[in-house]
Amino acid sequence: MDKIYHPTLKEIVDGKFEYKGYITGTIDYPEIKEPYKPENVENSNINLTDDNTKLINLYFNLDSTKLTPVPKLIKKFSRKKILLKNLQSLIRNYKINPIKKGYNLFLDFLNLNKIYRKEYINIELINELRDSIEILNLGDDWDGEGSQGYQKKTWKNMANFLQEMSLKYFIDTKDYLDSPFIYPGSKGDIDLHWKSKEFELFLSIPQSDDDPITYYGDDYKKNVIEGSFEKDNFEEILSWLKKFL
Amino acid sequence: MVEEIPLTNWEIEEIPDLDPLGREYALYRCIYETFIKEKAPDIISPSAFQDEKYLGVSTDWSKYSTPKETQLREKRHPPEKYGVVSLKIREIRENEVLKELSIEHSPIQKTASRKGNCAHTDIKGILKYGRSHKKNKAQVYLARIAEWKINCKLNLN
Repeated sequence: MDKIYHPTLKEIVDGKFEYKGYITGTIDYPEIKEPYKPENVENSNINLTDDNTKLINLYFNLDSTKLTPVPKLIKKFSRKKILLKNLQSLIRNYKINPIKKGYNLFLDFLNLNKIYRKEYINIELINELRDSIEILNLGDDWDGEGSQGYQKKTWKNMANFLQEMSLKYFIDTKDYLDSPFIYPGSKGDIDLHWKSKEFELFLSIPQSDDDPITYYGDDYKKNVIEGSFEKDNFEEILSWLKKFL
Repeated sequence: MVEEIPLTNWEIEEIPDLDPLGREYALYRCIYETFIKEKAPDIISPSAFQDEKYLGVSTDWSKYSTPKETQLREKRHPPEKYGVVSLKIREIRENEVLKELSIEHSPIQKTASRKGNCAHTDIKGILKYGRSHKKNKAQVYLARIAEWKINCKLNLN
């Protein structure tokens, strides 16, 4: 198997490598306004954190452009009169991650929905969505117990569902919807799972458009919510979540 | 496909709640790494209790297996990619939500090409609810009963 070389941030900045991937980290410059999508970077997400720093994801693709987007990114930041010697001085605790098989679907979802313009989506949720793309790489019988693989359509339905929930939650509360965990479910469904000391909620997004979303949740006592609903009709779930998040 | 000749004759046994010394019997189930989140490795996912072919949720009975043996039996992926949880049989049977499930010893006989598994046991009934919230509920309750025995992200080995 070929050894995958992960370049350093400096090597990417210097344009020495063609590399398709994304950077995650913390950015310290409150001057950078949202929404923000650097030129030639396929997408970015920025959330303001409690300590007034910003979490940032930058998705870049050197394969398609044959350009070096990161210097352009620096140029963009430079125009904002931020003195930068390199990107390393901009992003703390950075991590460079390769884009894996299937991530184009995730990038398409971000771009199609102009997620970088959306202030209401928790970056933790975006990260969970990004990681959940791996579910699509699980083929039939991936667990040796006969589980079937997962369809892009189901993933898109799930991502759109969470985006719409996040928007409504933000409108109602002016806060981010906490990210659920996203898991491969039964029969091609994709499951969402919120769990804390106060409550637990477990939903299954169906593979078939004819099936409803099914769910069960409780507060470990008598406050129980269970049933099914069509994908756009999540008011009851949202009201219930607001009690605990 | 020709059925292979079994080299063992492990009988199906009734599974009591306790062993002869009064200790709790348990079922061990492998949990693939997809279900173990880096940022919350202690959480046991309800999604890990699936019954895709209506044959039951596959587990091993503690009378004939240890958590480590259950992990090493996995062949689909490298064993280290799995954690193992334990579910006390009595707790499944006494749980109001799970009382409709049945625990059935279903040993897999050894053949020339298969190692076999005397411990193999199915938790049956989770999918008799079909695609409904009752299935979600049963999965949540199974996950609540389960305890980690092997989880490298929690340094449990």
